[in-house]
Amino acid sequence: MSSRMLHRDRRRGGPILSVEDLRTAFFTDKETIRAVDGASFEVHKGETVGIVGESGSGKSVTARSIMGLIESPGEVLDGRIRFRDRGTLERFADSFSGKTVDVAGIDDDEHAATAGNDDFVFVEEWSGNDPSGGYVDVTRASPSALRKLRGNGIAMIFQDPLSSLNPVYTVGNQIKEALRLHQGLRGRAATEEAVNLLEAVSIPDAKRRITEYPHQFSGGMRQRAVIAMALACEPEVLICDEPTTALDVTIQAQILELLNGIQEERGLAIVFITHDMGVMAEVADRLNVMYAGEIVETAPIEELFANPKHPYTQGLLESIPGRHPDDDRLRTIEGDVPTPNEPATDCRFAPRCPEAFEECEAVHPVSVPVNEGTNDHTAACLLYPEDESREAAVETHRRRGSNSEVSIDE
Amino acid sequence: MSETVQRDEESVVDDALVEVTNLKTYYGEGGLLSDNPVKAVDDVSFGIRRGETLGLVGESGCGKTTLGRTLVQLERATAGSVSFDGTDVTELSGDDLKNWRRNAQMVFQDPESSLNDRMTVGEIVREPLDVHDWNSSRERRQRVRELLETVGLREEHYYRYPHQFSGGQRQRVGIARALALEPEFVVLDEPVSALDVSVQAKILNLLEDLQDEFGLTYLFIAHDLSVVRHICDRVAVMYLGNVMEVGDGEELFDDPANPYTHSLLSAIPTPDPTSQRDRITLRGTPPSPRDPPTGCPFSTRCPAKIRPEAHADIDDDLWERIEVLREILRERNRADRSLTERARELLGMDTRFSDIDEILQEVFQTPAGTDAGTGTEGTTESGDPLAGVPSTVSEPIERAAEHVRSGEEGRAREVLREEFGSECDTEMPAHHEVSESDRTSLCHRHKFEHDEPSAFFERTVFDG
Ligand SMILES: Nc1ncnc2c1ncn2[C@@H]1O[C@H](COP(=O)(O)OP(=O)(O)OP(=O)(O)O)[C@@H](O)[C@H]1O
Ligand code: SF4
Ligand code: SF4
Ligand SMILES: [Mg+2]
Repeated sequence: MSSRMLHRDRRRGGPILSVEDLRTAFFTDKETIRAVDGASFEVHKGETVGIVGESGSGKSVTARSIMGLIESPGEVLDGRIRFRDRGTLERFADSFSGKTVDVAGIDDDEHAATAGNDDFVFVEEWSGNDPSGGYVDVTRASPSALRKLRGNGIAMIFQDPLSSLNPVYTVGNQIKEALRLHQGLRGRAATEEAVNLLEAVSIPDAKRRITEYPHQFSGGMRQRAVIAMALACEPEVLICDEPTTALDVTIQAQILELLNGIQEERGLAIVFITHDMGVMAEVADRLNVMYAGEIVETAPIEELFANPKHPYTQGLLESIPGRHPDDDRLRTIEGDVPTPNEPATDCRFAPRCPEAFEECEAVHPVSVPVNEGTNDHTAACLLYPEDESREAAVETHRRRGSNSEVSIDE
Repeated sequence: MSETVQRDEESVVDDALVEVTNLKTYYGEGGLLSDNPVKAVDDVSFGIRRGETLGLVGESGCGKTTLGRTLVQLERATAGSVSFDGTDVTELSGDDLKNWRRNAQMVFQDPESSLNDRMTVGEIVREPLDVHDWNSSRERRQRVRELLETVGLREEHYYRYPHQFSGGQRQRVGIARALALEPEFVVLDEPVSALDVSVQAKILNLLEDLQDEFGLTYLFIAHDLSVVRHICDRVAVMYLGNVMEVGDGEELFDDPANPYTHSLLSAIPTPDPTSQRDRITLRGTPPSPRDPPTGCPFSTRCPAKIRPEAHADIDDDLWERIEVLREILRERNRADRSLTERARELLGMDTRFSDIDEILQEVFQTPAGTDAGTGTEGTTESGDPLAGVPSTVSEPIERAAEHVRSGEEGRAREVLREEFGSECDTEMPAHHEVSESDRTSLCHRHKFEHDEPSAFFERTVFDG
């Protein structure tokens, strides 16, 4: 509990990562899949932000967009992904001075207009000749800058640790390679640091273990080795896409404990993706609920579980076994998750929503505070803000929705 | 207070449809590896009542699927019996076996791969009817249509292919197929594990409806305990081929008897962010079923393991470190064998086995409570790693270390076992009855001379 309070305090510094109106689509022969369709959220230093949603809702595509890992037939169509880390900013302004733009004193909305087509380092504040405030916009970064960023600023671990490990090299060599690339360590120093890292992820007998191959590790151990590799890059943000889904509960508990320890020690910001509400309740400080490419609700974790506002979130929580121990039957949500092919002109949840009314099929809901008194609990549903009359609320959504359409086509 | 159950003769539960007695299923027997089989199911006994759902839970590789497959005779038992309505089906063969199979069906975990993608949904569901020559072909088609409707699919799905379906729909197809021959008993192997919660809820409701309608008896294999708690009447907890605890589900969840059940339950995240439970995090991974521990199967990871009298007063942190040391030596022994194929590469690498001092350093010198993270912090590099440790502990560890130095790791493990081991390391526990409702638990702690596991956990986890 107290660690959660701590996280709250750390939020004052402003977000280290902000995703704004992200749109990523896949153009296949058959159809266009708007996998992420206008997602926005923030991550602050030292906190864990969760993204939960059903299969195909766009969680992994969101993560891969942040990492700059979207490849053809996929494309990031729109939006900003701003990474605000002073060390990275300084390094990037130095290595990519030709792609750096001075936006000090310029309004946030005008940044894109000020920048040249392939600029991606934005400096908002200077201390002397050095940039002291600003960000790197991942959506605009060049491939070589992305590679640099993936190494140093943002790291990711996946559900299947084998996808991040090379079967023909020892675990030690792979960690040492990461150390060489990102910290310039070689030889004995690299070996020592590799052992330290394996010990840091609680792999006993690390000295022997670094001489072994991934296939000689158990599933949980492999995931630890991948975490050690990510730590070798000294990231500020760690994106975890279902890191424990393939593991047994007892091993999952070990990995969650490990991530928690590392976060506390290094002040890491974590984006944690899972479809398991139990795991989410345990790790996240704030939670984003995704449905068909959109973030439909955001709130601090306790608030979201205690007072879910979006009808989809309500349905999702209700369908977890054990929420209503006295009911014989589990509660369900009618129908299936749609695949978004067209830009939304309605509420994508309307066909399944028990609360749906006429306008739900004509107005696309945008994220709004659920009521006047709050600004850290938002929902994309025409029922909110709940203290406005239905007509007024719908009007708010209609107006804000059409505004954002305009800014997209600019 | 608890008594040992003699299960070889008497019936385990009343009105049992399935009765499993001393069942063993080993893999790799008979071939080259005959002296070292994988003991996937290792002497298991329990009953399943007519019309009930028995949950089977445990970590991956503990033998759940093998046990399920053995019950429906997709796997041959190595020893023991599975009696179904009084008939020992491990004895059946030929036509008798084929006929009996109609009674016992299985639904598999992965809706992606368990259905043949080249067959239409109709053909998939009809296949068991064809195999058993069930009635006329027109009646078969009719039966398939009914079955599709029963599981919530539509008639027009008959001619579609599995890949055109969602995970939940494919699982419905698997269920329809399993029900085709009107079995009495169905093994459901992780039927909802690959599904999202909202889809999972629908399939669980469907399974319950079908059970009511057709009077089915289920063995429900799962690792999600909230699902098991919801759907099962009784629950069996498996670890390393053994049933550690079996009995009434509500009781088992509310008041677990076995240390492994305690640990498993505590590892499960609860969907409640305000919950402040203390968690027991187990160290390491389960041992290989090829090489299970000599005593209790859980003894290498059990947080409640009984200590020998002489060391009863060592503080918990030091005791944990001793266990870690023992685990490292055991692990090296295992790793050793699989390394033969790398022998060439290892030539010249004599360092592997001479670094016991570094291990002692790692195990005994890192500050307490730093298992997650602080490995990079400096430790006192020189000096005796056992300096702060009482001589009753350091002396035997030194003796063991000496054996390692002279290349006799086996001797070293023995020294540690003799000194720090207890009956948990040497004797297989019995199944003790732990409640009025016939719940049993496999653990020495139920013997009168020891504290019960729950008393132990109460004391150490919740006070410490
Ligand atoms: N390489 C690709 N080509 C075409 N479509 C893709 C590709 N990757 C993802 N998609 C589509 O994008 C949508 C979102 O997928 P995504 O993998 O982000 O879902 P998810 O929320 O991570 O789901 P899960 O819980 O199953 O991991 C899906 O409709 C998916 O089919
Ligand atoms: S906007 Fe309408 S359909 Fe959509 S979630 Fe809200 S009430 Fe339901
Ligand atoms: S017999 Fe010993 S090791 Fe096994 S569960 Fe009981 S206390 Fe633990
Ligand atoms: Mg995913």
